[in-house]
Amino acid sequence: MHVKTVNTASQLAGEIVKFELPEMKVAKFSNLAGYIVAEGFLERKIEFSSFVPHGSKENTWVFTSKPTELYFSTGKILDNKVVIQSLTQDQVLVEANALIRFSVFE
Amino acid sequence: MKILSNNIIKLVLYLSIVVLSCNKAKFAEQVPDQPPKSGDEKGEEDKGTEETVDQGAQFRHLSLSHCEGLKISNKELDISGEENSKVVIEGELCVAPKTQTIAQEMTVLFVLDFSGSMGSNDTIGANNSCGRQESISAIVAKLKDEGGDDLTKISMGIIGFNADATLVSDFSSLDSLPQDWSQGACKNGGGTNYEAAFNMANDLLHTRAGHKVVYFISDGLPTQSSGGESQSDELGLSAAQSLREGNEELDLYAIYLGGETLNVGSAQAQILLILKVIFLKLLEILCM
Repeated sequence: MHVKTVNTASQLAGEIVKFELPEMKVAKFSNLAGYIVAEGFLERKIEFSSFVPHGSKENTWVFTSKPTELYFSTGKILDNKVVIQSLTQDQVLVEANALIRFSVFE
Repeated sequence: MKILSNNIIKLVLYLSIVVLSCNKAKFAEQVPDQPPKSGDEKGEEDKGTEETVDQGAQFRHLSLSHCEGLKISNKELDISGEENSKVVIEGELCVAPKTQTIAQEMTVLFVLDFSGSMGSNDTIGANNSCGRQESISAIVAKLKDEGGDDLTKISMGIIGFNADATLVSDFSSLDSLPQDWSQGACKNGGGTNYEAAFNMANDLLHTRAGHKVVYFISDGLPTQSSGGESQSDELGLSAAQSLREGNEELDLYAIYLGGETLNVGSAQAQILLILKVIFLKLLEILCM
């Protein structure tokens, strides 16, 4: 709501502060990117099927990747490093990492 | 070890944001259920991860310093499968509260109705205070509280309008506002010219960088414009639209004083109320 009405002058201050300040709004992310890297393999881009604000958690966005192949080396455990990066609306780069130990045995 | 039946593992990966100062996530809560990897198997590319991972254990959970409580299940992280197995990675990105303070320049402009009717509608107590001045003080306090460490990035100014618009207080940095900065906010007298008010706001704002916030306070419909009274609504809204279109990062907020008109039963008041509701609806569209 960007327009409000109040009955009395004494209500003005209390209502005006309820308007949201621009940079304190729910966080917005853009340019979501991700990749998987494993020793001995080229970097593989992760593609995403969705990246949307969380339904109930403030300042939280939810991403879902498309099915992505992991790197493997038959007979051993191979570390797949997952990196997810994004930018906030004020151009702050954010990055999160995970490590998946993936094994394929015959 | 779980053998995959359909080559797709659904991996629920809760990740949180790591701000610039904390780009390396710390992995925690690891449960040793497999022997550690021998040193000669570690590649150079893993060095960064090794710094934050206890190599003597298998992962059970992944938790990051921001967004506490976001974890990954070991069952889904430490996985085995068939060749060409695929995973779906799901997760959450969230912003730590610290990153939400003002990060770039912001200009706040108060556009205040100085028309004659404000003299009776906007008086508080016997000390010549008014709701407009108290509103300014409330916003200043809010910005000082929530605006982050660098208040020099926030500039504030005041426009007053009746038959015409005037600059009451030129832009000052929030950290150095003069004590009497908002003293001229309680003036009253004359007509109501929205067109002049929005045009002046646009003139002042369109060259300024960063976010812009306009707080528009009034108690009535426009009565004057460059096209006379008959076009005052239309030209007022048009000027508001120009302000909107001329400033990309603009939040336009309007607050109307005088809701008690709803209780007035005269035909004239009811017509005025209808006009006001229509006008507010139109302005709401422009403010969005």
